[in-house]
Amino acid sequence: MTPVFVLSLAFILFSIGLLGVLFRKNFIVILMSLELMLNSANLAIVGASEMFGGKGVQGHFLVLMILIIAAVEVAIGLAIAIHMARVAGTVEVDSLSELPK
Amino acid sequence: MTEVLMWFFAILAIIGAFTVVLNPNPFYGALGLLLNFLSLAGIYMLLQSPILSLLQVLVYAGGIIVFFLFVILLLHLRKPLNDRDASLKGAIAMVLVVLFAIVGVVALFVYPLNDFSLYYVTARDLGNFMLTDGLFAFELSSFLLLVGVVAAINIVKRYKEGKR
Repeated sequence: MTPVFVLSLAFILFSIGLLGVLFRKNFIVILMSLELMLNSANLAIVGASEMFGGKGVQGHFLVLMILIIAAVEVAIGLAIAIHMARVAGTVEVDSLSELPK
Repeated sequence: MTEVLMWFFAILAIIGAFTVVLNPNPFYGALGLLLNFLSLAGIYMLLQSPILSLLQVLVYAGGIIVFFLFVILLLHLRKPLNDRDASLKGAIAMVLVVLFAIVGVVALFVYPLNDFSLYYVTARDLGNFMLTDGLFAFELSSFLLLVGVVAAINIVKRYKEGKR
């Protein structure tokens, strides 16, 4: 395991997640792409904390905090998706735009 | 052996991520996300941090994926969607993201990085840190979870007519 490998993998996964956020219009797929991005940030943090010596516990703790935040974000995001499906009848984000085109 | 496993997990993670982004069916997208999470758990194991690998499997693969699949089935999203941004904006976004990835990976290869000093982080180490130095952040995160539960219930609650 080299640092270049881990950080490059994190970067590529982050780019794929960013592509999903920009490229898809379904709200649930956008949330899944956000999860991909948070996961790649976790991988980069673990890689960096192993790289800078020490015991690396701080990096692991930071990853634990990001994990909790991701869980809360998914809970609220999916609640918003259910509410959106009830109110607008769809989860396509473009259909919620109320400005004239 | 480590080399083979690390390439195996990395390729599986990238395949899972592409499944999320490119598959028109969100159900298969969620399964691709599951593949990505499990292969990242393998990578954490190769990085000598079994506690993170365990948390990844328990929280992400066990909790969040089930949550996604539950909502996808609840909203009847089982049929393939045609929701890709086929306009000029989508094409420009795609080109910019690919350029971003190429520039970032090249920069990582050019910039000199320290080598790994892999230290085996056990649950005991993480727990000791969590209840001494990280106690305030830990308590704040529990409060954040409480706020998340209250907000999620309030968002999906059905109100009666005229009553709020």
